[in-house]
Amino acid sequence: MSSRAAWVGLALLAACTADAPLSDLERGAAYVSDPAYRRAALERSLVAPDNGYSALRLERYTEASWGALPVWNPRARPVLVSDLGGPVPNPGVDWEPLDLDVPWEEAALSALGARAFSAYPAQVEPALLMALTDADAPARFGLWVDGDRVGGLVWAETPGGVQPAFSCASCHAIPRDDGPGLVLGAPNHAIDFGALLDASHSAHTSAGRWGPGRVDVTPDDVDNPTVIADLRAVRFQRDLNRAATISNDLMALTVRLETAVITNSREAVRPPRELAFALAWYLWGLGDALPALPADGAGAAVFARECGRCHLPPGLAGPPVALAAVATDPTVGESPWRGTGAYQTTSLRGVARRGRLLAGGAIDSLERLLDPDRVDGGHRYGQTLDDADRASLLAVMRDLR
Amino acid sequence: MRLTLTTVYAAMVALALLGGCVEGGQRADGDAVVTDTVVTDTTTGRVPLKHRAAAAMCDDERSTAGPDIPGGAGAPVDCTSHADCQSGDNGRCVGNSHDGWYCTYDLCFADEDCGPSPKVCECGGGFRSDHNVCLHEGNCRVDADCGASGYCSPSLGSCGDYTGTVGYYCHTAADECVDDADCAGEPSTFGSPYCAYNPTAGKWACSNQQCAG
Ligand code: HEC
Ligand code: HEC
Repeated sequence: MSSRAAWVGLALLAACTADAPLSDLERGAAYVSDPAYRRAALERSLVAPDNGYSALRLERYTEASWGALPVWNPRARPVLVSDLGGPVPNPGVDWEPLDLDVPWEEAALSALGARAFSAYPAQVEPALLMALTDADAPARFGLWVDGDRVGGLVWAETPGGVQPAFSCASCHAIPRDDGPGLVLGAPNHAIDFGALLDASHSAHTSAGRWGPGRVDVTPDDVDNPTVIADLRAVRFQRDLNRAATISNDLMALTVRLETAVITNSREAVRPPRELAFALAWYLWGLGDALPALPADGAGAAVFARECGRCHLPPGLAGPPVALAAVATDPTVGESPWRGTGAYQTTSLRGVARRGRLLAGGAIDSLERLLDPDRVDGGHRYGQTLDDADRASLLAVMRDLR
Repeated sequence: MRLTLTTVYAAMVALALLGGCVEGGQRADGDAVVTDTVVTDTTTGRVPLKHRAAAAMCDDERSTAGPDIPGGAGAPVDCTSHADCQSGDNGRCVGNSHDGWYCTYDLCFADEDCGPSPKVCECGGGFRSDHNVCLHEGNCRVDADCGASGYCSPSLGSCGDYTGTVGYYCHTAADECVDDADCAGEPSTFGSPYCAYNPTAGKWACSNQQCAG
């Protein structure tokens, strides 16, 4: 018996007998092995059971429906710079599924999550071939190149042949600005998925107007492209998704990731549950490396006075705010699919690395957000500060990287 | 519940017994779309309603109507007459108050204009416009690419009929559906479920409009 199976057994025992609260890893093991446990986690997490996102999951997150889908962990390999301009490769001996048989321990699960983050084919997308036609093609669509890797993309073997796919790192990682390597979890606000779709279909649809860093994630017939999230801060979010669709905790995040892979495949496959938990566990740990606001100083004082009632320390996130109150473009929040009537009060930990701010990505910098002359875009907080206060506030915010 | 292959085959056998030969059709723009013929197929068991028997040249005819741009249109207006559209073949100024007005051109007349196989020139396949466009996705151009008695059919993508045909794909014995009608009883999330090639499953399957993300 693998150590994973042993752990799952132990955790189940614990879940049935002990009064003591489960540890995070025991929760993860219970999620993997116990359908009732994960179903309860889903039900607890949905903020508005009537929106499309919730209704679909309440209907299909069952053993008989999505639980019966084939498990997706195909043989895959990263897309490399040497693939650009070439044919779709054939699977070789070095093509591997992710090795899921790891000890059910913190470090091993984090390592699996980290691997999966840039190696797992999270979303097969034939249109990605357009970003691989020549050496300049990735940059045309805002895909990064890091060493020999292209945009975190992977080739995945499907029953119908090899297809290009996004990994999480395609949308949720950016090149470092101080040398080689990636900032994993930071949003890629350069990627232009909509332009890629239009290019592949020779079309001129609303996707071409999403703009870089935004994706219309909702099948609701409304043009409501949403800014790509900064996953380094995910542990600090009170709710998940800009529309505050999901009340956040480690289990809610795990189920969110599992169901996202399902819906991204148009309900053809589901991810291995060990993998969904490992990804969530890995993301949960990313927050540790994010700088916090300084405890004192002029900037911290301005923040506490003007911002801290919503962006609560230490996570600098907070309860959702009604759309009309924050007064930013309400389109994303009004989605009949993900909407709850309010916006996530997004964590500001890591905010200085984001190229696009607010749910629809309308604002492109902290300076612009706090500009006293700005009239569009809502979120008026801090716009009436005097120059000295604004400068000290901006100084501490710029260090939140 | 998903449509099982057994149901599909049962339906196919029934249809095959009932159906004789329906006439093949030729689309006005010249692309051969055969509607139905004798059931000889052993791969899918049934002839898909839409499949591409042969590649045909697209014509260069386009509508000369419009553009009717209302005064004070809120959307971007890149052109105001067809004469403004001179940087390609058969330029027309097309659009609507949601997408704005812009020039479209025939991007191809034959599959080869689009690049190597399996790229297809889709006659009149433009988005809300009648220009010929290249489709860069897919795994076949014509039925013969799918083996003896194979069928190569146009597939919608994840965004359903909003984006139209995104590529041509072979049918195989693994398919869960052959035509949209096979998906009529499927649970739907948004719009009606349709039969499309699912690139993750690597086969045709009933699909709900998902539109990216
Ligand atoms: C094609 C781009 C894309 C890919 C690939 C992608 N995401 Fe995202 N992700 C987004 C967008 C856009 C949002 C914002 C959605 C919203 O707010 O409703 C998002 C939001 C999220 C959130 C919510 C975070 C928050 O704070 O609200 C999580 C968690 C997440 N993604 C995890 C992942 C993981 C893990 C993967 C890989 C399995 C992944 N994503 C792959 C685009 C992408
Ligand atoms: C009344 C509650 C409230 C107050 C006060 C407030 N914010 Fe916010 N903030 C929000 C909400 C809600 C959002 C998300 C809005 C959206 O997504 O459109 C947000 C978003 C932001 C963002 C964008 C984050 C991102 O990643 O998109 C920044 C930056 C920000 N706030 C900074 C500040 C600063 C600085 C202050 C103080 C000067 C402040 N906020 C005061 C509620 C508040």
